[in-house]
Amino acid sequence: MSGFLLKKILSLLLALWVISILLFFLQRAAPGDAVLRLGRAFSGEMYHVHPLAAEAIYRAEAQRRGLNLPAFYISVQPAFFPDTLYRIQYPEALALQRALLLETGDWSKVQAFYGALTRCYSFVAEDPSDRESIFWQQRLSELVRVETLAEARILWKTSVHRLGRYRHQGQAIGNLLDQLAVSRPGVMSWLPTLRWQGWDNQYHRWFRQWLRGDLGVSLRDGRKVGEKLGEALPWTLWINGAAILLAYLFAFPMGIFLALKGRGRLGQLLRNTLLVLYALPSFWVGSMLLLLATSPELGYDFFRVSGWLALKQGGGFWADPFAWMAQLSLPVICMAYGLAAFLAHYLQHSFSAVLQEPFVAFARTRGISGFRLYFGHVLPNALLPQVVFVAELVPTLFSGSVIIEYLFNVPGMGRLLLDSLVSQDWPTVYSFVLLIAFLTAFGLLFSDMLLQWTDPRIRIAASQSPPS
Amino acid sequence: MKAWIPPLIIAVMLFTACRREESAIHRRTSNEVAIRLEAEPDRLNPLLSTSTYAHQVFNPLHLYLMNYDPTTLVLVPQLLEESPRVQRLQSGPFAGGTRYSFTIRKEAVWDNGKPVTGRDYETTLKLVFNAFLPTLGYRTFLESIREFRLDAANPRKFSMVLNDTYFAGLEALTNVVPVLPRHVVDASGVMDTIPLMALITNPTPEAQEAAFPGLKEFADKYLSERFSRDPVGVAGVGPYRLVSWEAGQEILLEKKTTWWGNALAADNPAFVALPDRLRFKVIPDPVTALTALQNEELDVMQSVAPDDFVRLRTDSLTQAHFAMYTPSSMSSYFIALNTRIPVLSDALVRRALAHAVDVDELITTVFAGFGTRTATPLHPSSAEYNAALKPIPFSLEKAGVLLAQAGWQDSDGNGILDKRIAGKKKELRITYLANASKQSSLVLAELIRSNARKVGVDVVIEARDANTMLERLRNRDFEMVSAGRSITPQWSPSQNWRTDSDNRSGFGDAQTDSMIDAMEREPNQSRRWVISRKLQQAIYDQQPEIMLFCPQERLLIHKRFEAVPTPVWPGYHPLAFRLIKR
Repeated sequence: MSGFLLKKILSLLLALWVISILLFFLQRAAPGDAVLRLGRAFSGEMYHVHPLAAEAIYRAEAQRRGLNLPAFYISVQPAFFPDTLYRIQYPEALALQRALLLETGDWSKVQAFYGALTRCYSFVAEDPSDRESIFWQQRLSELVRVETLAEARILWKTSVHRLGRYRHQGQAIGNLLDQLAVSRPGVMSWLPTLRWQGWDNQYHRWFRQWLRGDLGVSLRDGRKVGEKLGEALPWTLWINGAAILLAYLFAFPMGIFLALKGRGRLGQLLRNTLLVLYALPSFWVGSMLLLLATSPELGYDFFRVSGWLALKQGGGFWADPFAWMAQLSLPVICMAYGLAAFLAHYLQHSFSAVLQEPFVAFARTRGISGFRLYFGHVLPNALLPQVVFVAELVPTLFSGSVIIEYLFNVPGMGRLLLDSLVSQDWPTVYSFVLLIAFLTAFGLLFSDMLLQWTDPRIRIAASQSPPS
Repeated sequence: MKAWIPPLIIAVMLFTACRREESAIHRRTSNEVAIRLEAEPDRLNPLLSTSTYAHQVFNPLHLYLMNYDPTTLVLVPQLLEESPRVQRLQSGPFAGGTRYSFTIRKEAVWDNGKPVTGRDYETTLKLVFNAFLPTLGYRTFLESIREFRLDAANPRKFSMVLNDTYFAGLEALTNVVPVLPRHVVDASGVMDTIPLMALITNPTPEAQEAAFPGLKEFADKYLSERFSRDPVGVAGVGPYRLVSWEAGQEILLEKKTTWWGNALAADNPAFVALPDRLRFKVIPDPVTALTALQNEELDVMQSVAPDDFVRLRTDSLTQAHFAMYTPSSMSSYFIALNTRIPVLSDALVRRALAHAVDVDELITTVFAGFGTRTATPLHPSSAEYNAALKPIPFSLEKAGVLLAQAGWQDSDGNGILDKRIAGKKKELRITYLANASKQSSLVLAELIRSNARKVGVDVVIEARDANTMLERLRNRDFEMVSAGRSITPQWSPSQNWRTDSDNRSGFGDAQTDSMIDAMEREPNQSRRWVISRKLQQAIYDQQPEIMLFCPQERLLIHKRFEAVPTPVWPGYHPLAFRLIKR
């Protein structure tokens, strides 16, 4: 057993680590730049009117966030790529230099070209504003945004006659463009090269912090991520916990009733009702409940949409349990009905299957019947397959439903995840997803252990299986 | 009779009997205004916040040197005793510049009783120019400052010099950032020894770090939660203070019990602050928000969906408790055309596209008629608006004629116009960037696509999320895109229409640039407006933007308050809500 447990734990830890890496790279692939999204800081005005100032501030902010480090422990790039490309953080600078590098394969010349561009721009920007300096500021800004070397050369060719007093600075740019035009990366240099980037990289910093319990700071509002999760979690636990409890309270008697007495018309009606409940989408049910039970237009506004704060400030559940039940009822119903239908259906089948087992017939011949037979012998065996659901219920308890929380304005985990995704608040998204991954892994482990403990057949099989 | 029928009938009767009857009695009676927020603000710091909704919440906490009267839209003194003295400098080190001399009201004091002084405003400006803070967007308005001088004899007096004469100079100096308390934002006096001009003239982080080593650390502290969410850290000189902020739920502001501005309110509308509390409730879902409003859990809701607004006009419950307003909002919608791309570089093609957009249909279909057509970037009600310019009428025939004039014809009979450009046949195909999360943007895109197709223009819709759209707009990586902009009381075209500005469409040349420069430097309003109308004509002729309309705000305000809507976003001024005693 302990060997089994150890193997399970190790494989789950490995899975968690792989998930963390996938998550890390997925967010890097997501569109949008977290630093540029500082709104007013990088408004179009500053971006185009003061590009050098914008770039300097971008670099300072990127450094604050650790974005000036390599992304991961290793990098896989063509051989002609420098191992320090990660140091270029400003998106435009990176895009231009990368594009030219892929075409020409000559990093030193590409770097020199970009350096000449920025020096020229600084020189022109210091000049008093006149037609020529404005023209050249614009033209140099356009050069930074080209996508190919050909585009850059055409743009340069059509402008070089206007160099005038900038001839000296512009010459360097022209020369480098000509040199780049004859450079091509060699065939062998395209072979991917694995490079060790060191331990001090973005992923390592983040993961080490996370293991120490420091979930980081939200990019959106500067608050600690742990604090934000801690505020949202209780509401989700309340709603999901109550929903799961309600679902089981409904499913148990319903499932058993259908298994024992479900052959007639009533049984058929109930089974069809369960099917309909299972099929109804929760966002539709939630919207209907919202309109029917909270809107005064129809006169059935017995529930309120806001009031979560009043509950929190009112002193806990036992201070006013009726208020809590009233406020929780609609979202809990939305979460519970589908689960209840599924569980009832599942229990009905497993109960019916166990009723056909030979040991049940044997028990009957021994005079065991009624309550003792059904609840003492049949139900424990019928519940065994339900243990598997524990693996799913543990993360469900914590993760929250985005739709239900959005509709009913619950400040829970689901709404927090949605807000974080929309605002690209990656530290919060990371922590949330890793937490759910961890809980899923824990749930799987727990259900395996529970199965082993409750079902002696599994224990015997495990002890008898040859060692691998 | 089946046994289940009587219980069913009784159940239905009981259910219908349990309906709550309509009542004309208001459920809430306190002097507290409950306002809906569509999204939670990120911070309540006027320099750092990137959320539009944050402005609604932090504005009651702060005051500006001057501010726009919400009704008349005139810039009036708020913290200042009177409008500043303006002096053109003919000689000296700042010859050609303009000196503005300010005096802060003697009544203006912080919560600790200390007076508001010029040093407070100087510290605020130092925060703006701290290169380690994301305040870059404010610097464009203020980087023309060449001197900031405090009056040694009177701490409430100070002056600033701008390097030139700008008609919007006064607005830039007095209405861009509020005055923040120095004793809170820089309690340890880190920036006391750093001259403001040193920060302005050394704008990069490297230069500032080399000259003032403690500035980065100071910026890191300023970015913390304390100055974004803490009641003490976000305090201002305004009439309200932050009481609490429950994440994801609500933000509560309370009126200060002994606020100095109360004594001035009778004579000066800038100091009117009537509600005892302002409760901002975060309700993202519009259906949920409307339900909360009808339950009288909210007193104000703006941007009600047009269809809902029309429906509520005939709802007796809503009419019993809420007044409905549709003030003109100071904003406009338009379609930007990227004139840098070859297909759209021809003004005839752009004009043809303008004729192919059925704006009246759009206003009726998507906005239920709540909009006023405009032909220029200004609001049609503005005195500066060039009324001689009429909105481009919807006419597919005219569009076809213009495209033919531009040399486009359907040479291969596939229904899409084409033309030989640099020896190659090019079809008239344009990509339209739409906001995937806004239904109105998608409907507009589809309307344009279907009409454009009738004249042989193939519009391909590319729906993207808002963040991606913003980035592509910033990078000018678009062909056609629908967008909106807020309209300021004074039109300052240098931000969007100069060739070297954030000019998304690529409009303009040296002539329009010199028109804009002349406008910016013309202090006389009448003469400035003459140039402005010429510029509006130039924009109209070139059609770099297809001007659509100025939307009307759709507001519901509870009848227990006497309130007057305003054209300034969000369409109402909650501080002027007067509780009607019953």
